[in-house]
Amino acid sequence: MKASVLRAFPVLLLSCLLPLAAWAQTGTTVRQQLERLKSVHAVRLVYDASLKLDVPYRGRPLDGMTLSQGLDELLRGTGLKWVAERQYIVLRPLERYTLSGYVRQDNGETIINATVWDQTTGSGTLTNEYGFFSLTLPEGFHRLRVSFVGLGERTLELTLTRNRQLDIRLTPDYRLDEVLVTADLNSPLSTTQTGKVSLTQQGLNRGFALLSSSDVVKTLQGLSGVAAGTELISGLYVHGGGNDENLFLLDGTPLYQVNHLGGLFSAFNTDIVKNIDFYKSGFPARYGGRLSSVVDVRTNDGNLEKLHGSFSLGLLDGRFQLEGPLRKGRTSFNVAMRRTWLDALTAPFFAAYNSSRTDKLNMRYAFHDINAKVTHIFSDRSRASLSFYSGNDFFKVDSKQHDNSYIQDYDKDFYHVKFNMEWGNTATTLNWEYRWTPRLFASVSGLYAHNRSNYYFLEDDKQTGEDRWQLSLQEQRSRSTIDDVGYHAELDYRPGTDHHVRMGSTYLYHLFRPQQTDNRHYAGTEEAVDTLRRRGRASYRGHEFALYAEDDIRLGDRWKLNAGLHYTLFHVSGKTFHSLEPRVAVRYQLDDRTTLKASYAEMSQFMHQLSNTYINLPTDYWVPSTDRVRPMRSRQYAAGVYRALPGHLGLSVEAYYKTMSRLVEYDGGNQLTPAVSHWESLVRTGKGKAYGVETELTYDDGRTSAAASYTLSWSRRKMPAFFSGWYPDKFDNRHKLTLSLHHRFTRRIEGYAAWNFHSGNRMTVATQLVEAPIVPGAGSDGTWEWVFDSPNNVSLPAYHRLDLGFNFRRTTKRGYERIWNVSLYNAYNHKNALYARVVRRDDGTLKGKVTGVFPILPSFSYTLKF
Amino acid sequence: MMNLKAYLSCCLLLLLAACNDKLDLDDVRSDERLVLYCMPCAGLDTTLIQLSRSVPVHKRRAEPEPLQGVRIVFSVNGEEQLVLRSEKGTPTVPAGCYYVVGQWHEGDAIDLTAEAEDLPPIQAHTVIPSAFPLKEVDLAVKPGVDDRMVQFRITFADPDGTDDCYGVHVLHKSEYKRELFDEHGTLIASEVEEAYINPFYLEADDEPLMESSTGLNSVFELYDDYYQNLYIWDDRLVQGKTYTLRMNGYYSADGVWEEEGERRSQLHTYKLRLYTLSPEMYRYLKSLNDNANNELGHAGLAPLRNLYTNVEGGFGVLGGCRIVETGWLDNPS
Repeated sequence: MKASVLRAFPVLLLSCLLPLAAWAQTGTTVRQQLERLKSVHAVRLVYDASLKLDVPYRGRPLDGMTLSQGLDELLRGTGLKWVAERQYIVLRPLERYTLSGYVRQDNGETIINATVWDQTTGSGTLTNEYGFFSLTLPEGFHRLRVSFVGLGERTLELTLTRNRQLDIRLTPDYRLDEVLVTADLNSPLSTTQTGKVSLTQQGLNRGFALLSSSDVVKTLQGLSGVAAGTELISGLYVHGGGNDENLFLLDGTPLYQVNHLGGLFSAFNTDIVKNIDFYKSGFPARYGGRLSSVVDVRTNDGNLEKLHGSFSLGLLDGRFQLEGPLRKGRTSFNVAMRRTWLDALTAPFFAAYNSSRTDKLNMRYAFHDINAKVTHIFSDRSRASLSFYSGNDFFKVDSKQHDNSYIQDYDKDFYHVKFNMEWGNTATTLNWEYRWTPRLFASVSGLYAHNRSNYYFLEDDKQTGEDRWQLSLQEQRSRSTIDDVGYHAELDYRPGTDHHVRMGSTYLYHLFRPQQTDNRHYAGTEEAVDTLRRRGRASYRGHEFALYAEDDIRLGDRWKLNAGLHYTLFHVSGKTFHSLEPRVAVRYQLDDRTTLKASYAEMSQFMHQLSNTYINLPTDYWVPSTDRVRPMRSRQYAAGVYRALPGHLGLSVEAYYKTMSRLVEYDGGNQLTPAVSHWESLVRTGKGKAYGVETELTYDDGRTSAAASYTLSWSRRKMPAFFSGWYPDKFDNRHKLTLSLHHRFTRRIEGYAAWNFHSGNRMTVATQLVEAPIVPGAGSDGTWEWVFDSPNNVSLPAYHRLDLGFNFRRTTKRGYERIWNVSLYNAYNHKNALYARVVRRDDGTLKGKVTGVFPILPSFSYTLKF
Repeated sequence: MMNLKAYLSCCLLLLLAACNDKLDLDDVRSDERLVLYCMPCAGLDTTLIQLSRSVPVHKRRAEPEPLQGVRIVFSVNGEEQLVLRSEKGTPTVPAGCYYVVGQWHEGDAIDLTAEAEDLPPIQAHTVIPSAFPLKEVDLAVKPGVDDRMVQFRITFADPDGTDDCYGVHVLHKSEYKRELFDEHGTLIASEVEEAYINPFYLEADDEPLMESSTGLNSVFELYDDYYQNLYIWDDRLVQGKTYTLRMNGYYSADGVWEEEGERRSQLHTYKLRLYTLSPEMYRYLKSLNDNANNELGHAGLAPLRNLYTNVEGGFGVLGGCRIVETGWLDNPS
């Protein structure tokens, strides 16, 4: 019996499969399958002839299914539904409803760049910079997966029968080390743009903190395609661009001065940073005004549910951050402060030093940042926020000397020197977000920014006697400011899953006061005084108006296009400039794990930072383009291939080619303070080009993440005033390799290591030695002169450095988290070359000499989170 | 325990072992070229031509080999002039230098070509500028604490519509004089026992045309040095205007010591050489000064600009100039 059944089984199987196979083979289109269902079940079908039914059917065989099962299966994914009306089966298009809302953390904080993915239709979207998403889907059942790197995933099931609004929270329950985000639409594999890198607060605080403070710009410096410039200075030279060609936006407001302590720290306090979108190429049309990069920094709104905060004490600075609800679930605040506390040590030191002396010396340096934000949710549709930033540095020297021992005819000699320098930014953004419809989101911001740099110098030398005196008093005041006020308005419209349209406008009124100086010098005796006063001022009023529109379009299953236009009108001193900049990025999905991308972007820049050095002096000031110094332009092509490899690996190879025209370089001799009175005659213009390939291999298994990035690049300049041909840019680093590793040993201990290597910066070194000239009537000094005849003609020795950092965490009995951070900058103490020169020794021989400055720098910090 | 100690010691050694990088001069390879300095000057009858060979730094030794097979063509307004070589040297022409004798005038076009064995030929061009538009020179004592200054006030009328470049070089003469008087107080003998003439160092604190004296440079006392104390400026800020330039130098008061029948004195006088410079000569001197004073640039923290030259195929300058010289001006009191 058993044997006969076994023999009969293939026959039975075949008898079952053959009809199915026949269905599958013969029913090649939805229409044909419908006709077959109609004949099998003897029903009457009614449908509009315009419905697209001649599409291939790839579903399960319908044999054996009931009519309703068969119709459901057949129409799945076609955008059609069936309805039984009396004796008819009526086919109708599915209604489409929009699912919109916000994705938040468990504390109510909105999440930028979170992925909202509908597994049912295979479509998805990203939350915008306000955490808002909108996804238009066919009616019916959907399984949504919401995810964000670092917070994990959450799956939701829902049936759409109308437009719905969701407030989705990614709670700590989903923050599991082992859970990896499987579909991140913000990954290079999925975005349309080339050259985009997103950083979160978690990514910024990974264990290493130079001088105890994690730093945004230092983190960006480590990325491929970015040159860091002079060591420990916050330089950002992206794809061969200049340091003034980066658009820094803090909650949408542009900042001009982003350095503290000569660039050792940048102006962004990572305690309040929520997200940073950094673009090196493929700039979306919504950004404009700088040639080389966009750094879009968004800050946290604050916890809507509970009061939380942190306190941190580091080697150089202390930080305090507090956030919480002002009205639970409705209004939140977030305040973060950072201040160096070295002056708290130096003040008592100088007090003690001065206590026993007649002469007094005081010296202070400090900087602070204050970020504050208040967010109020009016309703599901409407919310507003007010954010404020103030950053300031000051440096003060005050020396008073009394010396009566070496003077004749006078009783007292008083010498007083005072130098005060102060620089910083204030920025305020008032933002209102409103969801007009589930598909249309609007935001309007009022912006104000103030940038300033001042110094005051006094040198007072006074000698007094019984009936006589003599004095010399010199005073210098210098002030440089920029005030920007304006608005930014944007409509975020998502008509369907295939389009994401953004259009908007920005207007900024710029008031440049690049330099206002007042110098006085009095010198004389009771008999005569010589007075000299010099004053100078310059100001420019500029109007910058921009309009843009961009559409992120899905073109079929494999193609995606981001196309846009950015128009800018810049008016200053009676001159108007127009710039229409096309931006195009295209993505082609080769297979599930591979995408190809290409982009083209034009950018214009209407303001220029005048600087004579590479060290970001606070006295470097900004001036607008003028009739004589016209706006700078750039064109950048980029293309890349991105692949997800097995074993949590990701690989990307991206190439770029960029040309820049009307580049501006200041040529004012050796002045630390560029003279504004005739700055236009002191700048030289030229062009530049940069090209290269960036390769990045990443690994992330949730516990260990590693990255290896290599950049092969060229950056060239052509400034006819300096050299007749093309020459290397100062930061033309041919090779750049960064290896980083982050590992969580336990829940308490994590470590970070990064090895940075790049070809040395370029340096102008004398190539020849020549006899000194004999000038008629003045003679010769009889020595030799060095000849510099080719700019940046030498590459300094290769730069390499190992950074190490460890976080030791512990939770207190009260549930607070303590973090000890220990970091080592330049762990193996390689003094990287700062400069090189040729020196002539006494015996007449010549020698090349290289000087490095920065040794190993250890630091530590203690943080308490409550 | 010992192992741990050894391990920690090794780690410490590794951490503190600073690496030293080197600059290989072979990376700075360049070719030898002719170096020309020639500054034909209206008002002088001898024009010096310094011609030498440059020393590429990769040769590692600052000893240029002598030139062989030199041929120089010096022409004024297209007319070739006789070029001579000084074999022994004179006070105005060092040994081994070439020179041309002749008087040049405003607007004269000077062309020079030169060649030597194994080196690429060179050529250059310049024009003799007009005379210094001097209106007045005045000396005054500027009061101050500890140090008084002698202020040179040079008033000049810059011609309108032309780009002009100027310079001033001051000579300081210090004379030790002895005078003898008879019992009636009549001068019976007078002699200058010693006299020293030296270039005089000037400061530009009070002078806006000298940009080095402004802003943070002044605060940090980063004053520029000028090659051979020849202080140069251009007319960008004073185009077509009459302007008084103020330059200061440390003041030395005249001293007089009288004894019976004898008077000894130390007297200070000043002579000003006022230059007009061709654009080439101005640019060359400015670039020489800028490079010499660019401390940040030499430390890799600021751009270092190329040394200007208008000598095609070589280095140096052919630059016309014109000098107006004052007499010896008395020390102000």
